[in-house]
Amino acid sequence: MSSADAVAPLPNPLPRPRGELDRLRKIWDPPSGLRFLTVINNEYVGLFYVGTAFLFFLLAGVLALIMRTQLAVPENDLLTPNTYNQLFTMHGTVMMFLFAVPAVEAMGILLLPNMLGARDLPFPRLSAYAFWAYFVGGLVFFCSLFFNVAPKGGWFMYPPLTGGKYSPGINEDFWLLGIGFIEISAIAGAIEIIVGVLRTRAPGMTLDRIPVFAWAMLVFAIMIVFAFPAIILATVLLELERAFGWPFFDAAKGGDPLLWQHLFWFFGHPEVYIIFLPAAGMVSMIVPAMARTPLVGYRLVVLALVGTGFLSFGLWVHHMFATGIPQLSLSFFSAASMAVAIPSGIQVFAWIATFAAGRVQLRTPMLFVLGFLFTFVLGGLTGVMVAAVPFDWQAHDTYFVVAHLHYVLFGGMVFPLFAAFYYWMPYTSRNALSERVGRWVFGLIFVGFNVAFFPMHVTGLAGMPRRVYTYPAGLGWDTLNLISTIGAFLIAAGVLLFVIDVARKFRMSPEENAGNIWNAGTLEWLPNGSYSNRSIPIVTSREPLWEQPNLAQDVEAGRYYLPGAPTGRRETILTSPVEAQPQALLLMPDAAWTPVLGAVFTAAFFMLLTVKLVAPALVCGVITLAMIIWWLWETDPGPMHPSVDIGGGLKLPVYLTGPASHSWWAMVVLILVAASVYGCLVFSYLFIWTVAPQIWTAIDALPAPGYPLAAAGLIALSSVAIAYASRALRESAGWRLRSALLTAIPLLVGGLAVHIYGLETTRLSPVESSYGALVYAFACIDGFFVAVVVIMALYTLARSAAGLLDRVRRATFDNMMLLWHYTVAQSAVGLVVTHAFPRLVG
Amino acid sequence: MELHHRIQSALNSQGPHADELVTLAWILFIGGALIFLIVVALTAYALFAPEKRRAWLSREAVIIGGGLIFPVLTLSALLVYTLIAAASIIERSELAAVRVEVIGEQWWWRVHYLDAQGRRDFTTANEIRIPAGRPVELSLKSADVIHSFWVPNLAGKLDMIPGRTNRLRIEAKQPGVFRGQCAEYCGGPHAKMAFYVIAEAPEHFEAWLKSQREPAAEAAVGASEQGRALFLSHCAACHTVRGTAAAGLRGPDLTHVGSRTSLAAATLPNNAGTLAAWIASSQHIKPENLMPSFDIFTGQELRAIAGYLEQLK
Amino acid sequence: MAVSRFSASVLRMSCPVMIWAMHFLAIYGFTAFVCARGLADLRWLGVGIVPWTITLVTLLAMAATIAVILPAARAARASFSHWMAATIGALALIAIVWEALPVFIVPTCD
Repeated sequence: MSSADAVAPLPNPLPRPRGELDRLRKIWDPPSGLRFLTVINNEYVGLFYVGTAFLFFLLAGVLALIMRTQLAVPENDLLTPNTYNQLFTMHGTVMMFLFAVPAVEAMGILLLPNMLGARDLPFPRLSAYAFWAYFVGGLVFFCSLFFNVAPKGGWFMYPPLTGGKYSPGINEDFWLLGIGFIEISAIAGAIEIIVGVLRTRAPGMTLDRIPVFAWAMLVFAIMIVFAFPAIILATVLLELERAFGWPFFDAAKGGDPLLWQHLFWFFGHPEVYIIFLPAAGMVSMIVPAMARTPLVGYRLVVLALVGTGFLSFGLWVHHMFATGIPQLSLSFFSAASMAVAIPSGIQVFAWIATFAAGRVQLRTPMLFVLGFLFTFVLGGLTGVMVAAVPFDWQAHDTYFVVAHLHYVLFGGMVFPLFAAFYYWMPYTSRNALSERVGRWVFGLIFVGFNVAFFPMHVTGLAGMPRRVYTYPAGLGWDTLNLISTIGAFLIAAGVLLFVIDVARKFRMSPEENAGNIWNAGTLEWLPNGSYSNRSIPIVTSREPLWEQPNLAQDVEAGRYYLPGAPTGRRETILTSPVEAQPQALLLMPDAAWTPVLGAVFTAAFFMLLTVKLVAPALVCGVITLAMIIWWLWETDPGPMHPSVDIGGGLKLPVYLTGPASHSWWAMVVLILVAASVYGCLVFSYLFIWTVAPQIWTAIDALPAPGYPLAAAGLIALSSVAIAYASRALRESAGWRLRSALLTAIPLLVGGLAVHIYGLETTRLSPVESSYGALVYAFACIDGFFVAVVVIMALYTLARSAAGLLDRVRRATFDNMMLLWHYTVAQSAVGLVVTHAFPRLVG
Repeated sequence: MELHHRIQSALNSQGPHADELVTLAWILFIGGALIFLIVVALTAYALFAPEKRRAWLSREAVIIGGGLIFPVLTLSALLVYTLIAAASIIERSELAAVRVEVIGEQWWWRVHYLDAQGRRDFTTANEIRIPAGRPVELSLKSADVIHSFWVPNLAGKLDMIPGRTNRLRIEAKQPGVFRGQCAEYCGGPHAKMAFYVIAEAPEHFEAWLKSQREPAAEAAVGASEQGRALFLSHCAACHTVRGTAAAGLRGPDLTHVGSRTSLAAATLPNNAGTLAAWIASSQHIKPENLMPSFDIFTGQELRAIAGYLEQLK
Repeated sequence: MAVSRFSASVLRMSCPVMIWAMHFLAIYGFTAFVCARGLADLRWLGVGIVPWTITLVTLLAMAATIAVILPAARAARASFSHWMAATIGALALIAIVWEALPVFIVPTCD
């Protein structure tokens, strides 16, 4: 693509037909009245999300202020240990799970489609569902504080402290079941972002032209796919231990508290980079706009994002340097922790180079970027310090680490977020925020932050451990703590000022926003409507608004692709992943109550289980399922629309069958998540076998080999039946398809039943040893997947009976097929691990 | 015990391992500070220097030089140095002068001194005395949840994990008193789970060992006798005083409690007044700890019990 | 067609990552197993099994990574995904070497 394109005619001629724009507007305008709550447009869902995340930031910040007040003087009695322990646990948990990850995910939802030239995310109802589950669930979770049942085991929840014996109340169950919907939100977001960034871009936006923020979000999403499963499994195992006595972490029965730590930190370390990378991506968008020159070293920055992403998976044991693990093992993680500093260095120098290449305007977003640089670099350097194992033996679990983590998280994420608020406010609101007030906000927060947290480096080395509700006078910590408390209140003053300015200036209006006041170069600054862009541009560079003259006017006039809505539904263009060539029209559903209600009942399900109201919880679960099925039934309603002319001589089909379809891609991502969860379970099994081999000794505790072999055979046959069904569907969705499905279901369920029956014939008990617990855990997870996939098969049968499934429109069947084959493969792996492995090692 | 600001500071190194850690800390701190200043200076230059003078800073080569090559060189050196330092600290070829088993409990420290064959010699709580100038090997365990043993003046910390035994070497160069604290959140009053390590000249240490091995001396007549009787009837279920019928194991061994510098895991100084206060209202002083407040005694009874305990030296 | 070009790009860029991950898993898993089971004293030619294994696995991983980097570097000028594969490979190589260094300095199971 080069200057030849500038001369080539634009895809659609003027004048545009009468009513085309009005029709487009009508299709995309959000519902009014109470139904506005069902809105699914990414700008609105993104704003709700950001607003909710910011609310949690404020709430968790208030918790911190209360904590700092308690710690301002030694031997303070403002709070009892019980209250303080709930406060610090909730501060960490809310900040990490209810603020940080949702906030950056929200910025992705808000910005990505527009940055990429798409009209919306590929699964808009899914974003709405994820948001409402988070909103309802998060607020209920926070309210546990007011009933004195908030979790108090620390945000990291180490057993045995958080096991049933030492935490007998429901406090920790709130955490375990409460963050369940966060996990759902994050996974849903990851699917949206991966499919969105890779398949719905403006034509011509090749991979090396996508905005750096899009790269950051892509890495973010892939990291979620591989990191969140560890915490999903860990929370399931701990809840099984608490509720049913399955001793995964109980040393007396062959379990190991370190198993939790490995699982938690395998998630927990990538988690902080999941939080940081999108922020770094936002900085890489703001800096070029402020410097009025393209980012220097684009490819190096992309390399840094990808490099940080993968290396961060090799760091997790650096949170366990004091556990007594052998020094050589610890050293691998020390080395990896230093390696991950390199990509961060690359990004910092890329930003410095961009400053040098341009003429930087010191507007408020830029002030926050400078604040970020100062704070994050300092935090990164203390990070290298604690990466040195011996130094960590003094610094671990002291206020030194509290200082480090706040410098990298507040510095690395909150400062960029404030920069982003100031920078993208004109994109979402009628007014920008005040520059004058912005300087005060920055000054108070920046000074307050350093006053609060810098002294903590000293406090920690002076001997003050973390998570203490008070401290004795005379140890030299008194003045340091008082200074930190003063700093905390300065931060609060700055944040309060910000909130006041937002209340004065923010008027939500993606359609009539303040516009491109920074004169930035990327596509989100095109004139916006509820339909995003009037037409979908062809992109030939990284900063299209700078490089392609008249782009904004031509897009607005409808001269590019898809200036209307030819099928009468919400549409965007599905493009190829590398070259961004148009492949199909992606039809999206519009707003409905089902995702909202499904989300509310999902949150209710988890919360009712927490307070042990099992029957009402199950009812809510069933309603959730019903809502989801109803919602899905409405998508892909048919009949098949003929191919559509989007302009420039391109006629695109409105449906893609097979591996090119966006729902196939979503299913593949979901399968990667599932495989990661199962991989963590296999790790858990091998870990416990390594540290507690004595409980594996009784081979006759295993069922006779006939059972697993029969089970394997049955489930394999079910896959064969599904494969046959797939072939049958190539001709028609008639009786051959349906009978194949009806054969596959009992085969799969039968295989599971034989497997579990076999276990029941032995003396193996999930309550008496961690070995038994693990073997039954495999069966439980297999059972969960079998249930899901059988429901999907029944749903497919219903679609076929209703005439909504045919040889072209077969996405429903294909999604089920993918998950079915995965479930069979997963169960086979489980059978090999639990039945063949112990026999092989004797 | 008078607290002062150096008694629990990692920067006040009083042992060979702690010395190495302080040296490492200073190298890391100075190196980090230098790099930080360079980055700040380059940023300021990139923002404010005249356009022609800062053009060199805008080249991709600078990103590779500053962001890739420089970190690779410095971090390679740092990595090797820290690995060597770690190897040196965990080295334990020299024979330990004393072996002590420390078991973390919610929210105190059970201490068993071991003999040369590794069998339990005698039991105490919340205070560890060591001979100055000699290495001491601690076997760290836990009776309930994860705790962490940390005495910053002497060494880095090491966790106490149920189901595992971790070994830590500590050594004090000179006699002195060093305060330590639990460094892994263990619920409730984790903030008040601390201890003292007291290093003494070898002769004093030997004398202390001898006296600790002895059972409790016979109580003197009078108030002490009443105190002893009350103790045996109310406290023996949880506490041990060797030489009497009290053999409870739930709480700290009190055979020589009178000789300790502190009470309740370094929460209170040790005297008759604090002993009485602790017995009567431990839940007020250290909420949620596992000893209930014994507010059933009269003032005179409390004084008697405290008097009895105070003379268990 | 677009899908398989994409798969090729993804595979190319993730090869060094997978080599790094497998190397890391191998050295950590093997060391952890040997130390947990008390097998550290097994030696061959005077050198413990852990240093032997880690050195061997590291040399293999380095060779595999270089085998990915070199052809990618040749095509890097013209192709973004080749450039990414080569540079991700370089980063992975640094990490692989650093992660193996400890075996020469630190005792195995202390």
